[in-house]
Amino acid sequence: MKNYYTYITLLIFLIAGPFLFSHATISEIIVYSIVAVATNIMLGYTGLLSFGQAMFFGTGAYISGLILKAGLPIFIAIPVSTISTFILASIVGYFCVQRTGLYFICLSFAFNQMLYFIAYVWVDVTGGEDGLVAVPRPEFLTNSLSLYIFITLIFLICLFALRRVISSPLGLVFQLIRENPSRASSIGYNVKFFKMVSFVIASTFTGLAGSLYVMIHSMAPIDQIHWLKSGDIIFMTLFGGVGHFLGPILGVIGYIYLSDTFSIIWARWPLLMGLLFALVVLFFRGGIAELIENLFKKYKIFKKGVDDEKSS
Amino acid sequence: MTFLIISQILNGLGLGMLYALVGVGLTLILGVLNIPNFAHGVLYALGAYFAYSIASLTGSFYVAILIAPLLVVLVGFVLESKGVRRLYSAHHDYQLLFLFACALIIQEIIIIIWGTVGFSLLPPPNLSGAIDFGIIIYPKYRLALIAFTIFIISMLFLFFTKTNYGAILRAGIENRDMVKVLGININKVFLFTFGLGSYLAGLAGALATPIFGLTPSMGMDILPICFVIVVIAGLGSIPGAVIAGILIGLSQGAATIWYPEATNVVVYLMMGLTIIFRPQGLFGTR
Amino acid sequence: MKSLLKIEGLSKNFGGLPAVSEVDLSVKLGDIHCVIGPNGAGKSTFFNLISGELKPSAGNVYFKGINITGISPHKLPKLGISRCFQITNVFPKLTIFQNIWSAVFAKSNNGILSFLGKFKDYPELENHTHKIIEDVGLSHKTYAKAEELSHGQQRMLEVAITIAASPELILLDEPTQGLAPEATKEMTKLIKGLSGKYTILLIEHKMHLVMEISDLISVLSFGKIIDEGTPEKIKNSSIVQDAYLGRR
Repeated sequence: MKNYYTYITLLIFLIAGPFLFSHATISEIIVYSIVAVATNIMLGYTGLLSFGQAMFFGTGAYISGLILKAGLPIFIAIPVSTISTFILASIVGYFCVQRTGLYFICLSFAFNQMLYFIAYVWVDVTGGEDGLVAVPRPEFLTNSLSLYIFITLIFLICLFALRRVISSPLGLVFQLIRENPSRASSIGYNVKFFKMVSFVIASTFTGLAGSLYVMIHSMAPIDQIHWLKSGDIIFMTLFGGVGHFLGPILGVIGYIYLSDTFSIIWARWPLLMGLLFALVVLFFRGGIAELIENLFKKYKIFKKGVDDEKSS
Repeated sequence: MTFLIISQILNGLGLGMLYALVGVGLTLILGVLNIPNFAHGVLYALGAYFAYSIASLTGSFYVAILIAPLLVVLVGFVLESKGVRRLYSAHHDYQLLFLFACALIIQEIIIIIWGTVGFSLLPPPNLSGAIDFGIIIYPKYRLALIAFTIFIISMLFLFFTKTNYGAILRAGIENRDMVKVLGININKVFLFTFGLGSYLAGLAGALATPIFGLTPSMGMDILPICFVIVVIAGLGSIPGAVIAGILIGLSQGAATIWYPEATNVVVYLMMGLTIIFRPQGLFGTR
Repeated sequence: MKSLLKIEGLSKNFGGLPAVSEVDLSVKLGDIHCVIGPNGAGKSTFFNLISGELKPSAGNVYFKGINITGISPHKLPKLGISRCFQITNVFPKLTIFQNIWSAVFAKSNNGILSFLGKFKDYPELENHTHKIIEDVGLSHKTYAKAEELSHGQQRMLEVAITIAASPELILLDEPTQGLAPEATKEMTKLIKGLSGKYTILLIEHKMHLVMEISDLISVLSFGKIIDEGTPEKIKNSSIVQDAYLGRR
């Protein structure tokens, strides 16, 4: 029952979005929502913390941008960059899962920065520090509203796919790994393999999102592949709520709204974001989604109390 | 040409010794507390900036080198006791994220206090200038840096092998539960370890200033290299961190002669080779 | 009678320190076979060598004639071996149903694609899961989260997960550790009840339990088998007494 309300709310938000935000902003929110929901497969469901999501987002953006600049259609750009990210994720993921969780984090972080430096020095291809610029939008998407609709449709497809994963036995195995990896192994699941699957799914969808992102501002800036961006992605996911499938979307909205609002007022606004992050980690680890859930619970208890009083 | 090669090797060695200091600090925190300290980079930066301010105030570089790392230790103590410790019962990923959040905060505070423009700091007068060895002429400060860092690392070595507390830390890296069972106050051990790690980071930052100057991004820039050091060394290996740090420093020194654009990439190349051919690191067991 | 599990010359050295030395052991089909020994005898190491968590320095492990030495632990359930751990080791935030269904699915799934199916596609697995929950008396808690159960109930869940995959051999690592006398009696009854359908190899410390349920006992001391026999024989064995009293 509650599920229907959340999906209806989401649909209302998607329809109202272009009126609440600029088209570019709402498109960014949707793109990052794909990233956050996908990253949550790894973080919330499998219990894997990776500081490397930006490398896939950035790679997806660069490859898609390069293909569009070459004059090829979007229907080649998206699949090619998604498949490329898939291959990259498989290689990186393979190495990252070999040893303990600490090793996983350190290695994903180091790989991310390695990719950043490759992007930095390979100026001919990536534009280096200035990023990839003048990426043309396909003709049918030059209108920013139609771009938003296109991105939203892909977002909904991604949501459907990820939802299928979560509701399947595979999704359950991810949770087994989160809850008790050694037991998951002893009842018969190859934990390394499934960690890798989780990582690859999360990263591939993130790359897909990157391939869409490049069209919003017609560029792929280099900071999208920097490890700090990975931190932002983790923040958005956590802030929204890792315990709920759609929770991270709230974190994306919050993050983008706050950053757009405060970055104009104060150049040092990342300080506020850091404070918010610290607060969430210390006191609100369930994110906004959990806060809302608790509010609903309290309301139900309150309402039950009122109903009980009425009937007595 | 010999002049160039020798001085680059020495440069690389000096850089490597600084990397060794931060690397050992990170390894300690990683090994004993089991947390990748994402604030390690900004602690390095704080060491540099504190040193700059103290040197400007007192006019003495030596006082700065003495006091600055201690201030960084205080910051480390606050981070550990007020945040990391509180999250001990939650999943240890949250401790990492807390430190990351603090890194963002401290980074911005550095800019607020000291501004966005970089600084430079001159070495003390009796370490300025260079010594003529015949085959090369080499800066006094850099020589002193190498000597001093060797001294610090030797002190650390003695601490770990000859003192009780050092043994406890080594045991903690091997097997934390065992240490608890021995009745040792694990909170004190954690606090001390985090403090020691912070000290090494701050000291390295302070020592680096006359050579590399200060920029607000220096904290975030050195963090990835710290993690590469730890991966190459093997998680939890202190001698490994020293050797890995020196290796990376020397590699960057070599790159500066032959292929300057690759100075950053060579670090990751070494990491790539390590994880393919020796994934547990040079000295690692886990 | 056939041996289900045959161990030959199994040894493990930790950097020169022999934890397990030249152990030969046969577990007969249908038996409850107990491994006992003083603390530090190497019992847990021995178990870890059988189940693949540790790779042996020497020796072989055969299950139904197949050499499974050093196999990856996650491959055991499909072969028919289930391991139950010392400390309660369930999946806290998942329901009882999910805890057990996962073990059932692990045994019976057919390749990668089946992982992406839907839960309702597997009615037989669902029925089997409900039956096991019933067998251990936890039906009323089927959809409760494992962390909400009492300690004793979690132990039952632990056992349920272990038998969910219909194993032929069960490795039980100190199943009554930390249990109060009443719960220990329940667990003993449960293990006895299992002995009909399953072959059990277990490590235990509680002597009265061992004597009560074992068909065969092997005694480990300093990594070596020092005696083996029926409960009667072991009870009166001076070799075993010496080992426990530290005279060996």
